[in-house]
Amino acid sequence: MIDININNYEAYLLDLAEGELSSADEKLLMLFLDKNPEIKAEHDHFELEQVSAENIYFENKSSLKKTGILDDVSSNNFDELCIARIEGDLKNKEITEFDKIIKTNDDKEKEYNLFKLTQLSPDKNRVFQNKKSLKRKEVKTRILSKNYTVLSIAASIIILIGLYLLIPKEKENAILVSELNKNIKVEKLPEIIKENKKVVELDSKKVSVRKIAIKDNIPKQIQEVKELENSIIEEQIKREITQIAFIDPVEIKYNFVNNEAALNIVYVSFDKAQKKDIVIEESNSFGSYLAQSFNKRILKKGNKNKVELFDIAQVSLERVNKLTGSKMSLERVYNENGVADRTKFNSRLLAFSTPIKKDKNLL
Amino acid sequence: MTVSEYNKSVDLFSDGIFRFILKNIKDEDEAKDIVQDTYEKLWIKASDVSYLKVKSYLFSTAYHTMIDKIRKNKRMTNISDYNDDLATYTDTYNGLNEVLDEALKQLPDVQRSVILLRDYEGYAYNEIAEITNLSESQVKVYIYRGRLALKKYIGSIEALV
Repeated sequence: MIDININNYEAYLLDLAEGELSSADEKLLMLFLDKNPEIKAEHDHFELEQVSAENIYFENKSSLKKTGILDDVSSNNFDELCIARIEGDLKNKEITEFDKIIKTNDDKEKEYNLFKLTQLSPDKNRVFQNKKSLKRKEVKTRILSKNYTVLSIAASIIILIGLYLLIPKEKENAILVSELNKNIKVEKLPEIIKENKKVVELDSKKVSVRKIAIKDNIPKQIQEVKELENSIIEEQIKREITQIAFIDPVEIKYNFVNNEAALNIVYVSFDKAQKKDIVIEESNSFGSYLAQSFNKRILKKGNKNKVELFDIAQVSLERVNKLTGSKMSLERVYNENGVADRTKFNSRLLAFSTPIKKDKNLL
Repeated sequence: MTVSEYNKSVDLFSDGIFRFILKNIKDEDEAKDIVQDTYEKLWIKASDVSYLKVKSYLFSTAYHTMIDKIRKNKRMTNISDYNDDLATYTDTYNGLNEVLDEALKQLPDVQRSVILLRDYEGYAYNEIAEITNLSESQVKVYIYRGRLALKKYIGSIEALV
């Protein structure tokens, strides 16, 4: 509820005069005016003072209009026009007008010519001589080529380290064997520290088993030789990890592939009842290492040091099946001796079986 | 901006920047240094600067580098309160260019720079505004005042001669 009083009634009167007062407020204002007759008289006078727009017009508009920018050229704006002219800020029509003016007025032309002189032009003979010092070469390319050099060096070092690590340890330990299924020949005979012979039954034959502890390069080794009537039927290198003794000796077997000495070291317990199939295969060639890595990581076929085409084909087929949703299969067929002698392929449209060619499935 | 575009900008704009700076500070070695600094800054920002905008970037960088150096070295005389009485006409001028050079020296830095950018490089008002960090109307005012001052100077010389 508003309170119209002697201090604020003018605002309400003004709103009323401008038609801004609501009807409720207007009623309140009228009540206030009825109570205050002297203010009401003032209000009546205020109403009279409102001027309504009359039809009065300025008749000399044409005198104010301009036909061109130079209609009232004075000393004050001539400088401005000259600068606008040389700055190219005038329109074509204005330029024509301006040029006309200065041609008819020598003083103005002289003034304008002075302004024209203020336009600077560069001395093209002044050039920056040492541009070469500012230029840059294809840094990225250079960095790249440097990187290649660094990478080459790094790769060479890695290869050298790799080769060093892959060099067969049997060379260092002097236990390379010359031929397949022949007696193990040790290039450097280790010093025998301890020797123990005993005769055991082997296939109803008496076999002389000789155990010797040898002092060799690390790791220490034990050589076990099985003899029958002075002829060696089996010779094994027993490796002992911890100390020179007959405690938990390990058996080392040598496999030969294409007359290459691929060394498979099989650690087994001396006690056959506690035989452990802890297999650590070492390869003595870079190719074998690659084959092992390929088998382990791609084919998921353990640590075999040879890659079989069959495995590659089978893995590839599995991938194709996965991608296409087909159900092709490639399997080996085993004969009664348990030897794989055929390969069988089966798919929705085609099925065949083909004999396995021996010695050609190795990479 | 590629390396080749950067090198192209050296060929295209280094002379203009050099002349612009040289006209402002009248010290060739200093001008060379500023050009070097300018391109050094451009090289650092090369990946962010578009080749289409490189010219205004270079002039802007050169201008601000120059202003910084001027402030640092106090090499230039601050004559922002330009007074006709300060102009001395005792030298003998061999040509209009020398008169103009002398007249330019008398201008405040900002007026000189905007006129040089306008006349040497033909920049539009808005481009000069961008380079100098001024508003377009400020640029117009400075150009107006600068030309008026130059005209007064040249007119005075002509009156003496």
